[in-house]
Amino acid sequence: MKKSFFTLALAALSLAAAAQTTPAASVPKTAAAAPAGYADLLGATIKEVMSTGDAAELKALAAKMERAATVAPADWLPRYYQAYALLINVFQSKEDGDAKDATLDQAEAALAKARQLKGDESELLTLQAYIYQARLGVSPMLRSMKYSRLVTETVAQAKALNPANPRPYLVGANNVYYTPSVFGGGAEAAKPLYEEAKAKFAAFKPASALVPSWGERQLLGRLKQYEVATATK
Amino acid sequence: MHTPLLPLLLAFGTLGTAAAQPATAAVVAPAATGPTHLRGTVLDGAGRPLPGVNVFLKTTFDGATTDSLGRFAFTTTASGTLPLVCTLIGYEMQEMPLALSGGNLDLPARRLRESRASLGTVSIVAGAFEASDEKRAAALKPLDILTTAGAMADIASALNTLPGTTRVGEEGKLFVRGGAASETRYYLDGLPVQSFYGGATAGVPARGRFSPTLFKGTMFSTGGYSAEYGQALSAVVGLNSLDLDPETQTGISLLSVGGSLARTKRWDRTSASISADYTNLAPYFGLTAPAQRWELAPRHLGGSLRLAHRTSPAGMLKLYATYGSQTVASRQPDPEAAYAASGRLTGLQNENYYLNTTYRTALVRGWSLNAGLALGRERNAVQPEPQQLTERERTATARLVLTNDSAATWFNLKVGAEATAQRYDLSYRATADAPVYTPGFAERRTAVFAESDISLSAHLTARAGLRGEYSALLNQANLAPRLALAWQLGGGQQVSAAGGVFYQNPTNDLLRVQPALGFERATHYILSYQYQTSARTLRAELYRKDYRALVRFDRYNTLNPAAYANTGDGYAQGADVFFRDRYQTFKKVDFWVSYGLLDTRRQYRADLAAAAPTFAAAHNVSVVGKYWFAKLHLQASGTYAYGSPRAYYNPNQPGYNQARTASYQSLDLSLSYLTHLAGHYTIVHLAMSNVLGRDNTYGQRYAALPDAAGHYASVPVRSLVPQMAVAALLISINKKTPGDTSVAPD
Repeated sequence: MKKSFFTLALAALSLAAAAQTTPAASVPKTAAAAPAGYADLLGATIKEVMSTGDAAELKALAAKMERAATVAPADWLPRYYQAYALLINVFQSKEDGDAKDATLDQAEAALAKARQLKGDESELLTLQAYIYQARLGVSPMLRSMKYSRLVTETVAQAKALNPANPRPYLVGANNVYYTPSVFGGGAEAAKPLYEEAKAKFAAFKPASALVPSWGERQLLGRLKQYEVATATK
Repeated sequence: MHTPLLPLLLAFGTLGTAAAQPATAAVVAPAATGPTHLRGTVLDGAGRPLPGVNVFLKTTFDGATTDSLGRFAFTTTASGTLPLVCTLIGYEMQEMPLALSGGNLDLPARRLRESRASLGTVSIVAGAFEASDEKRAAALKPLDILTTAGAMADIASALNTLPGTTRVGEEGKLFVRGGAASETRYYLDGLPVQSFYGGATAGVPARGRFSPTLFKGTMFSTGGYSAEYGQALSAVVGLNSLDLDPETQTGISLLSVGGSLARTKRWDRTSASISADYTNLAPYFGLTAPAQRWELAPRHLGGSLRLAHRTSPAGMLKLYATYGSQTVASRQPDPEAAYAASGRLTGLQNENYYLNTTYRTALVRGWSLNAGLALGRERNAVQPEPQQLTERERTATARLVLTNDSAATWFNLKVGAEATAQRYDLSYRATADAPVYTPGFAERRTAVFAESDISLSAHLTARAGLRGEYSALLNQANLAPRLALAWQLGGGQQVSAAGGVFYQNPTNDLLRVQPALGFERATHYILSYQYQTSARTLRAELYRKDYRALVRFDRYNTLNPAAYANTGDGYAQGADVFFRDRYQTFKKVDFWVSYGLLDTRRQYRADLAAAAPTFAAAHNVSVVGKYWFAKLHLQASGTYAYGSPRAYYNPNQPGYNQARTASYQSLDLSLSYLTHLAGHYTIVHLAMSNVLGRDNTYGQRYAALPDAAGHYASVPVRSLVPQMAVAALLISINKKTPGDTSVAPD
């Protein structure tokens, strides 16, 4: 009995996932709900976020996303990308730990707003896990134990909600990659997880140009590193 | 069955909401008048330029972030009238309508007002030390209690490395800012713990009953604490237990002096954990100290059960039950002639049950409820030859607290009530054939309190509280106001002040002889400065504590109820300094230094005159260091402690508490090695206290009566465990995560 329910749920999930990957499912709604030109402007801003690694620029883009959120207050995407830009800023910035923590506080506040707007929960949880990873990075000595576990738990939730979403697989693999080998992590332990993420990315088709689709470039870069490491051995 | 359905519902839920997304009304008007170039400056309340402000036209993407001089400039193609918005975290958002007419538009300087400090982000540090993972301001992490050398995984011993404490080696308890051990009260999840320490006889220091791994946070307040806490003249230790255990696992601890076994099972919203432990020091003392006079080396058998269930996202039901049984018998040197040859035999049997249940949940309109019930039962039998004492105590405490964190943006509200019933009985025989003396008492105490955290301005936060108590036994009521203020200076600096009035019932040993007493009272005044960065904490505190209505009795006739009265008083004042540096000054070293200066005098209990009490040292120093050898997975930890000479009473000389002990010094070391044993995460732990083998003496014990020459014979007081070495192998068998020391068994 239990098992049949589980199978049913899984079937329903994959249907839902399939529905999400059909472009028709969500794009027109976003466009219809917001003023004319909104989708184009948002798309251009997303492109800017994805193509820069400059900390100051990322902060400015996060501010722009905050402005976008006032254009379409019911759309979760500007809040999502605001959080994303702030998060990437923390990885790129040279500020001290307290400043980074303050930025991550802002990222979490933006993410909370995206959740209130009922955004794609699997993507939002993935971003939350990524933020936990950034928290860990601020002070690994003191925070590894707590935040490594939080990343693992949150990634598992994100995968459970949408097994077709490749991003939690990437964040999960990164978490293992940066865990010391004595705790069961390390490059070797992470490699099969990156391979798994690669397969997920290959099968993933974003529903529109606006919904989250980041991560593949980072993943391929990492896999390239493995190749180089093997070649130089 | 519930679980697999959940993703199904969520999946459909996502689709449903996407379809039902409401249409947005605002539409940007197409450019009719040509682009407008906006320019301006944003200043703070004091007129200084404010960088990082997001200035923009609402409903458009057009805007800019102010630069380091507070300037902004941007161009918009929108026209008509739109609100111009300025936002920055920590400041109140500003909106004003702006007509866009095309061309250049120079705006007058805008001023942003700082918002009041958001509640919850400021913790008032005066008097309080926290060990927590969750709060950034915490001076300690929960793991520090386990990894501090010399603490031997004992909470009180670890807190003894903080300023404001005096190490009293012969007792092993917490003595805070000139207060006796009984003036510190312990709370578990908000409920008072009847008996925090295991049984102890002279020379065998007490240990806390609770394992530090049970707690996610520990609060140690050395004064000026919240109205939530009562019945403590000097200090409060608040322990917050873990909610759900993180994962299913089995923990095996093998110690050189015993072992323990724990099994934890985790379900989705529930966890259960059961453990048993056994300690026996007989083989250890047989090996290390054959000359020591242990008639029966310390033995302890204990067990515990822990259940946690998440009833809703903000709801949690927890139950913790524990049992401990303890026996020890020792022969110690004694000044009385009768025991000169073979020492005096003291036996102890202690049995303790404790149950703690709490439930918390969210209610409507920002209110949340915290309810709890604690039951304690203890039997403590001591036989200092030839006497026999058996104490029995039962207590029950029920507590209900309502909290509203969103009462307003600038204050919160907490109200609570507590009811306690206590029954205490003693059975005493001076000798085996003497008549039995059976005093006892029953107490019923109720307390109510209210407290509010108030954000007075962007930098000033206050906590004001009031606590009222009524004791049926004393037939007396009291009203205790408490106040604390914190002023954020910026750059991680805070100046804070705290004060209040604190009441406590006289201790059991007084009430059993004379229940018709009054509350004892202390008044605290604390001024504190803290500087904190992510890696460093510096704290300096000045305090003054006045004691009134302390109970006194006749030293030479302790069983005379008529001599018991609330006529004692005293004071304690001093300064505490704490500095911690985590891997900043030295890359791999985490260390802290504590210094406490204490000046105190009192006349209470059997004191003949006002004098420095026996449990207070004027200078107390602790240096704790931890070094992490990353490559070897090895942590080495050391603690050095110094306590200046303490007072004791020598009846052979004029005066009172006029004699001084030698100073107390101890160097403790420990090593922890993290590894895997047969694939299971394992910690190998070696610890040794008093490595240098210093002979610490704690004064002299005198005979009750002088000899023929009028001289009181004496023997020095020592701990029966002057040095201790422990080896431990801690294995956690766990399928999911291969290793995590924060959940390691103790």
